[in-house]
Amino acid sequence: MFAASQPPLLIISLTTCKISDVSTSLRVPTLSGKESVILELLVRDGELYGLQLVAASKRRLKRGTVYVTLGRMEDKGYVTSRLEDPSPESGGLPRRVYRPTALGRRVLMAWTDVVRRLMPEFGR
Amino acid sequence: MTPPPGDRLRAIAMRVCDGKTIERVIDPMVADLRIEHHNALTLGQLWKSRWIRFAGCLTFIQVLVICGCQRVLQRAEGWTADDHRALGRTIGISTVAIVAATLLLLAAPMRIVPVRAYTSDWWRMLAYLTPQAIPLALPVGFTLGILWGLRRRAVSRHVKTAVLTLAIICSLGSFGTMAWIRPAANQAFREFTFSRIARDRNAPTDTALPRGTNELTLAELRQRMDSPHAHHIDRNIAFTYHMVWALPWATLALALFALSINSWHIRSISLAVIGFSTYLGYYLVLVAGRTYALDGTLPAFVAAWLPNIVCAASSAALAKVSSTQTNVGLA
Repeated sequence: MFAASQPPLLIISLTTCKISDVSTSLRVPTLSGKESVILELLVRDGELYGLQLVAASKRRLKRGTVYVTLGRMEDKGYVTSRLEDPSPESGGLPRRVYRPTALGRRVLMAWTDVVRRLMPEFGR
Repeated sequence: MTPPPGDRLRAIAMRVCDGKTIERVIDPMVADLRIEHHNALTLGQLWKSRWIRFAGCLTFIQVLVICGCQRVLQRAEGWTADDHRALGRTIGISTVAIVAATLLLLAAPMRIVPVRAYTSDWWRMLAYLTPQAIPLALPVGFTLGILWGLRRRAVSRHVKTAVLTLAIICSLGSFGTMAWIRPAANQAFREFTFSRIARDRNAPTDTALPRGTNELTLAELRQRMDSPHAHHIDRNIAFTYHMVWALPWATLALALFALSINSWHIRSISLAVIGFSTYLGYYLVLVAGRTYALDGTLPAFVAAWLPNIVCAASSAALAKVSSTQTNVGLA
């Protein structure tokens, strides 16, 4: 039997398990530079295609990285996408159009606020 | 009728990317590319439509590179902090040992050449002599790096794969050096030294120096091997040709050997002794093989590859012994 001062091994392992679960589920969402640009544009304009994002970003986004970044943001739950009906112009491939999720909007707001608060006085 | 832009790119992507990447990244990119291309053609902008095709290719390559890097990083996520430390230590020690061995190997020929010949052009001498030293320094440096960097530890599969990949890269680099860079550097070194000595003795300096066996590239060695000449020279050239192929793989063979004994609980000094002994043993077998190849006892191919074969066979035997001991210990 365990001594009164020592917690049983099972309780220790369960506590450790809970702590590790909490630490992974409470991971603070972060935004990279490209992700914040994409979210800003989507929040401003609503729904956009990948190329429209590149055009609207004024060279802050590149063709080569925008689709990968959008895919990653979809995995994180910041944006969602839907497929349009395939048109003959796109050779039968449906275009994918992106819009921000509620989480994406909240993360952008929080991130903008954090950046504004942490930015030095001379940078504002 | 020309296929729509991005058709071939998509076909390539289907071969190399997973379904999710195709759906999330490649298909939206190709669909946008086609719409943009179509719009440009509708407006009669032929050159713009061509530019869009070209830019689409560049974008596609960039996307493939990014996806490839992401896949590598995802694989690297399985690494523990201990794995990172072990690999970092191995690379660090190997680098120091390779540099030290290279300097040591450079010191000997630098002492032989008259001081006057190189004091003003030491950088040139260094450039000529380094390609000779590197194929010899790489195996010993890498072996010592593995023995010390991974000593007395059970090495994970990740670290083993990374170390062997590095050994293969080093072997390929060494092969390139031995096959093409070293012959040119050797010849340049000989011509430079000869011209300096001839100038000091007021002798004509414009005499062309014929290339020796060590100054021949792989293709030239092959050419000489195929030409019918005296037997002894043929054997020497044949052995040199096969040695250029075999010797660079000493790094991999010795790395396998070092990985098979790294878990032994022995002192660091013993590890150093084992490392140097293995290296010396490798070259003794190579020298013995050369002797037998020149007198015709052994075929040149077998003699050149003999040290690698011996090293790999002993590594396999030692790895089996080590794993048996570990299993007994665990049981």
